[in-house]
Amino acid sequence: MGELTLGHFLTLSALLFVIGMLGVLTRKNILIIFMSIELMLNAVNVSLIAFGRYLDSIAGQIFAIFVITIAAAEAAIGLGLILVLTRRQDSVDVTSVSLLKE
Amino acid sequence: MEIAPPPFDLGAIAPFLIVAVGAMIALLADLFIPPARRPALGYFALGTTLVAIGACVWLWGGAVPRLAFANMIAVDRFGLFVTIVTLIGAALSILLSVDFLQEQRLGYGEYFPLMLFTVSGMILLAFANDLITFFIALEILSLGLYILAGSARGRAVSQESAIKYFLLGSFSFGFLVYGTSLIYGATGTTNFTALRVALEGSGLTDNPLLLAGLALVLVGFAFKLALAPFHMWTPDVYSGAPTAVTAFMSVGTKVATFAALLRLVTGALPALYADWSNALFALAIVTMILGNLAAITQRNIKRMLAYSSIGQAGYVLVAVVASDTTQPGVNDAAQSSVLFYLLAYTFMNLGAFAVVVALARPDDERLDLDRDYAGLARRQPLLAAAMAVFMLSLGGIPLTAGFMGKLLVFRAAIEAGYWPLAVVGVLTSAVALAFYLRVVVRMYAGESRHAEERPARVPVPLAVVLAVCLVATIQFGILPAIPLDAARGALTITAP
Amino acid sequence: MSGLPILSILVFLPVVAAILCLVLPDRGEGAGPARIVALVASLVALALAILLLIDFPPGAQGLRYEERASWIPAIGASYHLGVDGLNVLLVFLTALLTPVALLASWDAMGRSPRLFSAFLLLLEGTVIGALTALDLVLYFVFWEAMLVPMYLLIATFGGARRGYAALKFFIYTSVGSLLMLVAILYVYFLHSAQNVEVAASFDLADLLATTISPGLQRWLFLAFALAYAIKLPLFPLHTWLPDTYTQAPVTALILATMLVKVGAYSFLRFAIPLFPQASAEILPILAILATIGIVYGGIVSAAQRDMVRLLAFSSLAHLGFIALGLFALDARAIQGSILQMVNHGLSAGALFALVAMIAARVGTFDLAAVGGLARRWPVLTGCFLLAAFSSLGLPGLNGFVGEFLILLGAFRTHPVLATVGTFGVLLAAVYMLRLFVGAMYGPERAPSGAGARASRDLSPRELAALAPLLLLIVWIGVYPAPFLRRTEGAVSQLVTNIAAAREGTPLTIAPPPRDAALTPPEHTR
Repeated sequence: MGELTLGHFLTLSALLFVIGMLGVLTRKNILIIFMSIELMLNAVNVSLIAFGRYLDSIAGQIFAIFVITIAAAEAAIGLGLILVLTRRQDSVDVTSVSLLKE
Repeated sequence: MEIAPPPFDLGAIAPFLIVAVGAMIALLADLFIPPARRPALGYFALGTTLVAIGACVWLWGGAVPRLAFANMIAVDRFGLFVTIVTLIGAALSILLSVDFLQEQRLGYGEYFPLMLFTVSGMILLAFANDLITFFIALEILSLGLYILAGSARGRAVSQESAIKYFLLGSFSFGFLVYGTSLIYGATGTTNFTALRVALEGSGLTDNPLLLAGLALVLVGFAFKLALAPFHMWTPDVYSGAPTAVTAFMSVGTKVATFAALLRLVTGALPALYADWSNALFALAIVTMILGNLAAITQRNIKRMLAYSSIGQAGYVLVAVVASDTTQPGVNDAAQSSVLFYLLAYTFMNLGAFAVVVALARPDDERLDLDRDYAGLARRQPLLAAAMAVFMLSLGGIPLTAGFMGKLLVFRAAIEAGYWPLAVVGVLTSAVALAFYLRVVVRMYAGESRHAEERPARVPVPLAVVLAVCLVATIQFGILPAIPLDAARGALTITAP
Repeated sequence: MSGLPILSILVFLPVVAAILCLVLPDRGEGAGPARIVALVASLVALALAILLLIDFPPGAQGLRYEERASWIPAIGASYHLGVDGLNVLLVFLTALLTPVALLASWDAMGRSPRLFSAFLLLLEGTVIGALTALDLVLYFVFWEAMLVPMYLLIATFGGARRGYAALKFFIYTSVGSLLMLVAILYVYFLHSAQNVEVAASFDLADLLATTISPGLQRWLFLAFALAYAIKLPLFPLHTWLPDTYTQAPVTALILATMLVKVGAYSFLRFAIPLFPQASAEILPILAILATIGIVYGGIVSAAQRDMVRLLAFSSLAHLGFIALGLFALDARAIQGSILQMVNHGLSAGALFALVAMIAARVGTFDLAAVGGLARRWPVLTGCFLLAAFSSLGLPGLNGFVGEFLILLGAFRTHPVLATVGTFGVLLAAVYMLRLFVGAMYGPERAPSGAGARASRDLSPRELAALAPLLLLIVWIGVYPAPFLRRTEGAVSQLVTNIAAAREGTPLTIAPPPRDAALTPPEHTR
């Protein structure tokens, strides 16, 4: 086992991102889809902080803080929308959201 | 480590500030205004956008380009042109909404403040000169639209539209951020200007991280701009959202996001021209073909206009592909045609949606092409004539803005050597005529199903929208020199 | 009248009048002030067109009444109109057919006379625009724009399947045009690449000076030819024509026949001069299609029961003749073709008007349901006889002169095709006489119930509509010289230039380069 290099972080980040992406594409529960998206964003944060450290620049961390902020704003809106939806139809399954299919 | 705060240049971001402050005032005022007086908020929002347009004109005449906030904002004529187009779109959408909200009993709620916040995001997007500003702007824009899409709280389709838009929007945002993170990792900078300098003549251009980053960013853009094959969400979201929101969404978002794409690829990544132009080339072809083919089978006017907007985005993309900064003449023609097309698209598309809004009844949105548009020419000749002009313009028939836009786009494509794009473009335009003209045929040749009822009253604000769109669509088609010269004058993407 | 922008007036007077018509009120069926405005405007335009024709010097070469103005300087498109021998007769014909169409449809304008008159006037304006435009962007704009009023006429006032017919007409005819747009842009860039020192331009005169390699010419010519072959229409691309003609309001067809002539004219003005080598290669093939069209149109026409459909296919045959003359690339044949375009406008215009007048009286277009009308309406029958004879090419009437010149010229270059084409003349006699005899003679059969009008012969208004057409039919038949002389100069210049280009010497159809204009080129006589 050598020391941790940038490559390790990037691999971790890529894996998390792909896991998140697959989650979005395969899951049916809206909450899980939403959490998968959050996972994607956090995967990005891992890579950003690793880059910041590796490049010795503060921009990576600033970038990551902005991503976290935006993710929080998204969560607020997303959960609000999901709440309204579940009140209406008592389910968080995306397959039940299909009025618009023609 | 000492961080020096960058100098504040509030004047440079005046249009953004005006709209954002206007949004906050509207949000607060909303608390104190009795529900019956809520339409006043709409006129306040309209005033805000008009003042912001004034600020843009003021900046246009002043010293440009102007970099502000540690180069994260670039105020140049390109951004100003796009901002003005966006603001015009927003102003018309607000006028469109005032009576629509009341008529459809949607409640005003935070509608106008949200719209203004969204517009502020669009303005920031047009000026963003840094990956961080860029994605913050994109999120400001999107967050507002997610809620607006769901603003018809009583309607399941609207909820569904909002959820879909939200999930797909966040998903694509993940790609964008991951892509920008990789670009940052490969180059060590997030600033567009610095990126361009870093890439020039460096050995970085085939760095796998950079290319992967570019690919992910383009995928993110493709989602946001509804380019095929990343367009699946568009018809559902467009048809589910309240029509006035759809109109705004289809115009403002596209304009601002295309501007950001153009600024990113030509302002920051010209060194990667070969890579992104190939990717966008493929996207443009697929988008033009799929968007226009899928529109043919639609019977719901909103879904048809959704697919049509996908196809229209394909034509704009053709000109983006041709934006090769190493050939200044070609680049100028291509970028000015992007700007002209976006301007023309704003008017003709908003006009079409304005007709859809005008026909809506409280109990029935009147969206079925066969049932509700048949025989419209007899019931409401003026509305039908206006719709015919917008459809002909979207279809690219001469003497309309749409034709001039297509002419300029195809001209740019051929000049840059992309004649296959131009050929696919004209062939798909011919296909597109099938569904645009079908609307006209229905209106003029069909038998009316609603013959017995009284024609819908067209409220004054809506009539103003229709008149503005109609005049602009025809004027730009016959005498395009003025907007075209403005677009050409706007071609200084900041590169100091 | 030298200072007057006569061509712009001819283009925009109808457009302005159309807008005026649109805002005037409808007073129910067959009433309202819009028709009168439209008629006055079209008569003023006709007067100007007659002045133009008289003032146009016989035998003149080169363009007259040119008008130039800056339009879209950013891309080098300009507003440039002009007439020469190739289009002066057609401009006159368009201006003539518009008031005729208005008079013929006077009380057959359906629910909305103001829309009907406005669409007709828009059609006139855009057709004249397409005929006189000398800048390729301007030309393309008019070329596509003239489809819109026709499309609206069909969609609003057409028959039972008008929606389908309007859509088919529009899509069919615009698909080919779009490829022409790409070809126009291609030539434009070739020109600006070869002339870096001058500003890019869409002006025809500038683009004609472009050197294009033969291989490239072939593709570009095909892109242009496709647009024109659909519009003309040439044989396998004609299927939109019968549908359109049977579904469109019949009286509108009087003017609508001008649309197809713009296609024929465009070959002469644009495709052939721009790509002389390619046209020399490809036109013989197109000539075969034209000949097939003559025979096919004739045979199918002879089998029709519907009078309008019969006339539609007979138009196909006539247009085949016109195309054959153009493609023969012989001065006499081309002159014949241009004259034949006028002739077809006159005879087909008169026949469509007469069929509409008959249908207004008997309430049907079915040839089998009418008969023996001659006894009831002798004046109508006389007019019909003259128009039918003109259409079948009886010597002494105009059709004969045109067809004779075309065949004479075509014999020199395509003897076989010309021989086959001659049979077309015989077929024309078959279907025209069938139409005429079937409707006018035999046992008297006319569905009753058409009301009081059924008993009346042609009204003064109907006669006024027909008179100018019939007069010209006889005039051209007896004394075609004034008309032929006006086309002579331009046609001989065109043919000389094409022959020169085929031999490889540079083309001088365009005004020669500015400084070279002082010294006459060697090969001029």
